Amino acid sequence: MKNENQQDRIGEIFAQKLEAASSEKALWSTPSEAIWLGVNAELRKKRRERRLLVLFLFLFGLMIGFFLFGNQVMEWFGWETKKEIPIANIEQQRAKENLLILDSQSSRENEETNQNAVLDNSAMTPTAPPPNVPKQKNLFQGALASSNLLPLNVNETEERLEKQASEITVFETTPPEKEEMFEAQFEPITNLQSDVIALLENDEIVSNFEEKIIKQRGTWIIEASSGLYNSLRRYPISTEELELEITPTSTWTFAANAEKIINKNWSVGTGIGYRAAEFDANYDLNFMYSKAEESRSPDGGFEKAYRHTLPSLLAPLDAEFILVRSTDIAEGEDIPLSLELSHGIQHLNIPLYTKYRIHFKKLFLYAKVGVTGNWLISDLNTNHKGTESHHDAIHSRSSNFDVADGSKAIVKNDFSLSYLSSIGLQVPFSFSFTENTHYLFLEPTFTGEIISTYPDAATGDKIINLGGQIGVGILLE
Amino acid sequence: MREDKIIHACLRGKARAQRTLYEQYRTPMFLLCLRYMPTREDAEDVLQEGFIKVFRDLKQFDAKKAKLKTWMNRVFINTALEHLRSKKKIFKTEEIEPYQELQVTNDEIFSKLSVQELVKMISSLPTGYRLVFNMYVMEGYTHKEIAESLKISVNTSKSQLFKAKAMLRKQVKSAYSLAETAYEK
Repeated sequence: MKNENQQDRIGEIFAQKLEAASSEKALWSTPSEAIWLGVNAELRKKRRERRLLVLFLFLFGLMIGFFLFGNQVMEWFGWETKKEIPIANIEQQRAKENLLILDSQSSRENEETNQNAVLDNSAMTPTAPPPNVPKQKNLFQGALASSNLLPLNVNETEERLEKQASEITVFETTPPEKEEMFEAQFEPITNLQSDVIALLENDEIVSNFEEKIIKQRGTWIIEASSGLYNSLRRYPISTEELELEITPTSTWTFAANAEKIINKNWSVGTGIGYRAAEFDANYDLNFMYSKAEESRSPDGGFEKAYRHTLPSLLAPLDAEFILVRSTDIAEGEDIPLSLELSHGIQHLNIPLYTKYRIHFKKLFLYAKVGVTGNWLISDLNTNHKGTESHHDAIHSRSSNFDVADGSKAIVKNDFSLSYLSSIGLQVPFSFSFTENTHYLFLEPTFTGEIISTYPDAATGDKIINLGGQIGVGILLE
Repeated sequence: MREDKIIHACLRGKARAQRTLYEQYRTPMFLLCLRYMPTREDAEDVLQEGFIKVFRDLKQFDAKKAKLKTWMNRVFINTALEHLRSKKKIFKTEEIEPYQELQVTNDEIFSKLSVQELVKMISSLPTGYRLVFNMYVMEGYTHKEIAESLKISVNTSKSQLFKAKAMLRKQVKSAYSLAETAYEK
């Protein structure tokens, strides 16, 4: 009993003395400064990760906003891709630039005899020019021209439609059809989504994923993805200060990548991708026809020309379009015009990148930088369709533009190098039928590309793509 | 700055507040680590790891349930235990010498020993003794709580405490004898 009391007394005394000394600062009880440096380094890392998260959310929001409101933003800032060319200069410019104006058989029929006819190429017949008016050139002329004097082949078709309810409906019913297709694409994803949500609740999958990444250094991750991008570009030809423009450009990508895990945070990757770029520009405008301001072609056709600055690789192919024939319109007439342009090119690309990954709650955030080599695998495909409405009639025309042989603007097998940077998030999940860990990823992306689009260009064409991709990955074990 | 404001600022990731909190608690927490760990280097490792956990998990701290120091003590003790577990088996059988009467029964003996010496004595205890002694005597855990925490039986906890105290008594006596000898000389 005495022994126990003495021992308890020892404990009590120890406790009292140490408690009293706990706030005393002595040299021996002061940890070295290195401890704080270690703690602070970890805290700085956390702060950096927090800032990365904020940046990620900001860019993600920006990307979504860009897709939703990109066109409005363009209008607010006055970044438009169309430029009206002073009509008075057209003839002069043509002469100077040796613009090819194709004489095609006139599709213009005498208004009194054929006003209601629907014409196609085969139906086009030459007509005698009106008195005191030189021989009438093609009534709907399209041309590619400008700085680098590109020759052009134009295949022209023309349709002239009466304004009938049924025909108007054709134009108006197109969007709903697309909408139905869009909805149909999403049906299978509904099931996948519910699975993923259930899996997200399982912390084990997340910790397993991290553990596997940490332990299995040197192993591979395989990814498949698809993306959509919109583009910002600089006007490449002007010798003046480069002007930043937004073009309503959409680019689809499909890619398969292989990544090698270097350590917990770092990995390097490469792969192969396909890129289909569609450059669209749709104009809607009204103009009031005025005899005083009329600019006639030598054959007396009324011309309203617009220069469309094509984005990216197609920049040298500025186009001028003459849309309306003077014989179709009357003084003071309000003429609504709509012009649709689309240009498409396709690339194969090989990226080389490095990725830095961090764990945040149930997600993994990452940043990626690298370079991509791009090979052009397609020819340039350009389509144009214009419609005008006047005299209670709708005129719809379409033309195909091809770059002539010998043009150096777009050449198949062209190579360009682009740099890429992106941030993304990964959501780990697994299937019951396999032990491999998978993940979904969402990756807002920024890419920049500098390419000399034609040999004599003063500057390379610069394009910035903002967009994102979504995909799945699997950790090979 | 008031402690609740410091905590709030730490939660918002303010570097100055984090430094203030560290400065305020580094000494008591280091003393705790020194008591639990066998060497100073180990204690520093646990101190660094413990503070990282404190800042990481500070949002879990509830001022209504406990004082910050109590909560931090628990974080550091858990960190020390994890550290010890990862290194080696905590409990191993160690024989101690038969009980020897300590002649001094008053506090005089302790007044001659510094806090540093006392801490060294605790640090030099075998791991199992040290943990139970610290948790029972210094932190006020019950044997049941210690048993659950260390995954041992209550009887083992009691016996480890008994042996720890006996060993400390021996060390105190030895240190006292040395001190007396030095004084007489």
